[in-house]
Amino acid sequence: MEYLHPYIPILMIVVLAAAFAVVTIIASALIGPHRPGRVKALPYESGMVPFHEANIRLPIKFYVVALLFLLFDVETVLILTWAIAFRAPGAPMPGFQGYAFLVMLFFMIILVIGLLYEWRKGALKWT
Amino acid sequence: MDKMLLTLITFLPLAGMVAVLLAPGKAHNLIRGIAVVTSGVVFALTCWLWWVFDPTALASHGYDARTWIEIPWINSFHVYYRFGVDGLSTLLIVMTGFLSFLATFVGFSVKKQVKGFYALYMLLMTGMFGVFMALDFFLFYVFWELMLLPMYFLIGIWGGPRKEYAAIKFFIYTLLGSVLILLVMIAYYFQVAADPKTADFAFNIPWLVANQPFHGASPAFKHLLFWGLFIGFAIKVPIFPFHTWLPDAHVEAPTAISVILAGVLLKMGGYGILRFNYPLLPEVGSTDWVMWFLAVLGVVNIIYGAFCALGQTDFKRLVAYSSVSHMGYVLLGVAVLKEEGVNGAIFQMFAHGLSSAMMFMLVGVLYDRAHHREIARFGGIATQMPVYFGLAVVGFFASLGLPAMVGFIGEISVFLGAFKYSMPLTAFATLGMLLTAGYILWTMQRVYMGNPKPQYAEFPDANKWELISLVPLAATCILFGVLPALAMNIYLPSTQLFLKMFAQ
Amino acid sequence: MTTAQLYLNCLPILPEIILSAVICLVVLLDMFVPLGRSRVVCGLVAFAGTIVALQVVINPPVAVEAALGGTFGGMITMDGLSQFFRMLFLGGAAITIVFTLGSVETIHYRQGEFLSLILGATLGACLLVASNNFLMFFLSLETLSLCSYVLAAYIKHQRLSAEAGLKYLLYGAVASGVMVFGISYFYGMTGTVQINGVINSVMIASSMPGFNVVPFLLATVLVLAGLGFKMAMVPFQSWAPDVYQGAPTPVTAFLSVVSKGAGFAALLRVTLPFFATNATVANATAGLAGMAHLPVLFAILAVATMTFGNLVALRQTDVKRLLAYSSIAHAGFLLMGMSVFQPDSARAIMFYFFMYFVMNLGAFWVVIVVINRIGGSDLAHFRGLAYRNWKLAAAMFIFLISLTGIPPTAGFVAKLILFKVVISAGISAMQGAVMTPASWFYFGLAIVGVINSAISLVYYMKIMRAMAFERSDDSSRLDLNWVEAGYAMAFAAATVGLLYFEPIANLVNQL
Repeated sequence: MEYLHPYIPILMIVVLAAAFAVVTIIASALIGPHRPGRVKALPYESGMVPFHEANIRLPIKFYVVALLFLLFDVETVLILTWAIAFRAPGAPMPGFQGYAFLVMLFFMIILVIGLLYEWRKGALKWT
Repeated sequence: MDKMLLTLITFLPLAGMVAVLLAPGKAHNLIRGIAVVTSGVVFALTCWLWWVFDPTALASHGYDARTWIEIPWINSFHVYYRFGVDGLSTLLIVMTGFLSFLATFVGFSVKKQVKGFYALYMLLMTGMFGVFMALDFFLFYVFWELMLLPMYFLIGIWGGPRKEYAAIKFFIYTLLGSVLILLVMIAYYFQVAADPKTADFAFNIPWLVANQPFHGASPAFKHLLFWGLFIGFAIKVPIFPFHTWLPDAHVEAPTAISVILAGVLLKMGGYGILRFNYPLLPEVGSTDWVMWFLAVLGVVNIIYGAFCALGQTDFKRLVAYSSVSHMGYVLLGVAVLKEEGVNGAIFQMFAHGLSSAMMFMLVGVLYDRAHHREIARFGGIATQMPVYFGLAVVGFFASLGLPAMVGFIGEISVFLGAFKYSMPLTAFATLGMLLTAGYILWTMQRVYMGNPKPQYAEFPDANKWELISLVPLAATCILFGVLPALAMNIYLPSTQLFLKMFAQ
Repeated sequence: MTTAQLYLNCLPILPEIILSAVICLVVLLDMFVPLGRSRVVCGLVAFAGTIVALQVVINPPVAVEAALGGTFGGMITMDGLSQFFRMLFLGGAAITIVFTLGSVETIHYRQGEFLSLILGATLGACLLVASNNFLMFFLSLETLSLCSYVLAAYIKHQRLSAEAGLKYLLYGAVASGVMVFGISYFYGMTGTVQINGVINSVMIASSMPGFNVVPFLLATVLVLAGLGFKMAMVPFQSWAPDVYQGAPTPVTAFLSVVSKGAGFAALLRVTLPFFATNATVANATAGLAGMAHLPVLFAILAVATMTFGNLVALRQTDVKRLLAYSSIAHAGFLLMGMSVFQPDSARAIMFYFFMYFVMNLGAFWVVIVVINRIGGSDLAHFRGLAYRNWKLAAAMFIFLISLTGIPPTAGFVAKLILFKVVISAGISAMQGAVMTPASWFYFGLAIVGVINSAISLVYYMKIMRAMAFERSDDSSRLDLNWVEAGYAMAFAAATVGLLYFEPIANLVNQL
């Protein structure tokens, strides 16, 4: 079990975090004053009275945009981490930057093709 | 040229098949013409083989050296393209060429799907010749199975009312048999290929026969191999109790195919027993109880087949059961391992090929006119169709084993061999001859004799196509009955080689 | 490591790079070529690209030899196994593309996407067989799977196709999840995701005294679940009939060879190192230690798979569905080879797969033509085919005979070689002339295999019967165009011609 030792701090953080959440909720429930009322039970404290169900059908365009956003967002995350990872440690090999740049260039080209595809398919059209 | 002869005989029908397939489907006469020319050329080639084959000058492996061909085919599996003939196979090849040529004419009565019929027929021919020539176990097996598929369709598409049942039954029985043969083949492969020195001979039949790779194996295992092969071939012969596919298949098949079935396919079983079963495992074949058992089985076949034939009301079924009976002689002749017996068995195969083919043709001629085969409803045909009747007499008497007919020689020779082995058994077997005479004469009486029936008065006598196929058969039935040496001389040295394996 | 080596790294995966480029190209072309022409243009480009990639696999650039071994930090490995299967996958993709062009099923949908999905799936399969790292392994498997899900549901307006896609996705998601779980076990046990590293550790550990086999077996079974799903192995086969029936037929053909092949290739990739060791059943019955459980496991799976596939196939009336069960049964035969656990058996499996590849694609092509011309794949649509077009029927006869394993066809030699391996394992387990449990085991396995072949004959014969012995109401002649007839003939010729199997045997023996 020796190899698990480095993980002990992580375990401690997990336990602490959970404990903190549980403790605050229980403590506030115990200590805080309770004066429930009808207005307080409403979904919006501003006083607006909800006039229909909360789960309505949203236009599918929102989903498409969300999906596309997610895609490009993840790609951004990848590019950022890649840039850090490819900052070769120690003395950089001659020509390594060129190689790294080429690799990412291909990735970007594929991305652009994907964008073009979305565009031609009309996924970016709102109306 | 001689080197190419066997290859040509085997694969020329395949070329014929391609030609038939390329012909327009409506041009029935063109297709029939192609079939006749192809099978005619093949028959001529088989005759040439008969001519060049010198039975007195066999090579050391027991096969004709001039036509022997051996080319590596699949090295990694030690498979060779190995074709060769000895006396036994030459005789059967010539018979096959002869019968398949004649049956082409018989096939003229097929009116629907002529193209498909002849294409499959040609494929069947390739399979038949291949089986008789292949001396590589693998190659043999491929040809053996190659026959199965066209036959299945030929029965299943062009057959009689219960064609599907008959086709499936034929297929399953034969496949079962070939699986057993395959298993034995694999056993030999493992035994031989395990040693790198001999691996290259894994499928080499002459080598396996000469070297007996299972010589030191346990008797039980040898018996296993022997009976595996035996059942595989016995189904084809067919030997009681594996014969039940035969009446169905023969009755339902179109006439031309019945001719091939009875004339050639049954001989493959006998050929297999003579070429593979006994030579590969001579110790088992010459065991006392095996000899007894098989001889008795042969006699059972003779008597049982004859009794069944006696009881039939369907003309074609009767002929089919007579085949069962006649093939019993082959088994009896081989099982006793006497020179006369084996010679007789081979001759009986030849004779039965001619006579049963002729009988099926005779039945077919009648069926084409009457569209039924019930013996009881016939009568007095002799006066309506005198020429046909004349030929029928030859065919039936040849089958009966009348002296000076082809059937007599085989039977008497088998009896001579069997007599040396066991007198009581032979005496019992001769009962079969009596029964044969009984059902043949009785049938002839019921069908051909008696008062002419008015509903058959319109029947025309045998037409020219029927005569083309019947007359040569009748002629050969008499010719080889009078001059059996013509056929016998060709395989006598091979029989002696065969028997040498059993001389202790 | 120099920069030049970095670039050379890419050479072994040149076919995959070409494939990726073709995917991009096809997607682009599909956008800018007018709808009417996109089918042919995209099809030709995709086909040409696949052929180029195939060409690169067969004749690799010289530099690949130098760069052989671990590339991309040991993620990719190039050996006989990956070469062989990449060849098959690319060939299968090229054939599927032609099938797509010849089929009317997908004609009303944009082809570019369809073709790029096929190429994408092929890309996944090619990388899968080459991957030497569980992460890569999983990624490429998912590439293959995701593309296949979409392909199965491609005719989205048809209920069956949509159902196929959904079922495939659901089963597939669970199977991959289970597989990742299994991989995590391996990682936990050995501390590496490198496949050869994992295998080495397991091998070393298993030879130590006190080796606990349970977690190892558990992880193996979990990974096997993911691969078994791809192979359509019992008990992960239940998606196959519905997907095979519902998917467009070219996709069905693709799934039945490439996807299934990928499963087997991956399985071989993981188990191949064990084949070289002495992990035979003889050891299993002796002490039940180490890796010896695997052959027994595979044998049980093989028997279950082939028996299930064959028995259920007996009752089918839809030819596509019937072929689905037949493909399950064939997976069982292939698994039978796995149970021998010797390098020879890996070769036999590859050999069998090659033959299966040819005859199965041929059979599906006939189904495609029948759907094109007669309008369905039910047994009723095959009725009287022999009289309506003998060429097509004759080709189908040959494929069915071959699938059964009757000579003179490729299927016969495939089964022969496979059974040979199993039986020789039984013989080598014998001690002199005395049967040992292990030899009984292998002989029994071979017998079950033979019985199963016999059963399979019954349902293949059902199709033959329908074609030759029955008549359809519509007995008009069926005129095929030259592509339809020529393709069927070519496959039939190949199926018979492979009776001369020397080249394939040599190819496989290079492993």
